[in-house]
Amino acid sequence: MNRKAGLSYLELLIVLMLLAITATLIGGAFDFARQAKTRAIAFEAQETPIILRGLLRGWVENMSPVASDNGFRGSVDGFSFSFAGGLRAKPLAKSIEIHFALSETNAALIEINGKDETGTEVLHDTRIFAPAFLSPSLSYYGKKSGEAPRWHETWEEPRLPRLIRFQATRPNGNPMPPLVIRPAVAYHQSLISALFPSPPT
Amino acid sequence: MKSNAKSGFTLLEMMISFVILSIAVTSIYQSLTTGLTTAHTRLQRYEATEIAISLIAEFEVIRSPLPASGEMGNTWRWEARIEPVAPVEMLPPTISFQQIKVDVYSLKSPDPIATLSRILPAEGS
Repeated sequence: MNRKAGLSYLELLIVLMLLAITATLIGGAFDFARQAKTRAIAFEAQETPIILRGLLRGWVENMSPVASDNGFRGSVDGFSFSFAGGLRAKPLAKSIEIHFALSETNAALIEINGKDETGTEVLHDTRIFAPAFLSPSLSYYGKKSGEAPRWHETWEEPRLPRLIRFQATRPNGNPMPPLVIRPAVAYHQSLISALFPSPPT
Repeated sequence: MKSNAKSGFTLLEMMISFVILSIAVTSIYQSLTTGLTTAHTRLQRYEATEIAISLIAEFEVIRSPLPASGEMGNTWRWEARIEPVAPVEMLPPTISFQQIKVDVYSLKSPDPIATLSRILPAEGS
């Protein structure tokens, strides 16, 4: 009867050991949660620029080089271009307008408008990216009349610049790798593959 | 007395349940950690590939001298070089090709995270 009344010394030791194991596990869980939170914040900061870069590259590479009004207008904090047709336009839109703008608050806006022959809007896409980078800027590489090709801060020519570069800094101060895009490159490549419909075997 | 002995777990049962619990918890931790690492690797690869695409676009247009290498931020190191391409039999020998090859490394790893190449007509052909 008496033997059953409490824990023996050995049992107490084992209980303490089990408690220690549980405490370690719980401590590990807290540590894991903290790590997961840090990484989630880092992912968020990385993910927004990735989506923005993908969208920008997609549209700029698929532009048609045929301007439908006074051409490409680019400055440090944005560009706009209105072009006739283009790969992504088929078959509806006859002219597409692209606006890309960086705001003073480090947010970015990309707006795409497509119209058919009658001027009716058939394509509309506006996306705003919350600030995920600091001091973003754009520059343009190309040849202006009477000059050797070089990087420019603005571009107001009837034809497209040969490269568009997007640079920014991460919130932690590290520079983001610059995004360099060749405007209308997919359009030119599609013309080449249309000339040679079957690849050499 | 008999009913008292039957109620509740014995110490041995508790110990066995703890062993099982700790095995389960350890495996759950491991799968969660793998998930985090995979997501991180995916982002790294995406960014490395983006860097390589941007560099190739730049070299293709600006034609600055190669081989070249550089660093980006505190995270990335890249190397770019030109390699010859085996002649294409169907084409006349005056037309030859070369490829721009870009390797992107993380500053921590000795192996490239992304390698990209692009074939262009060789200069003068």
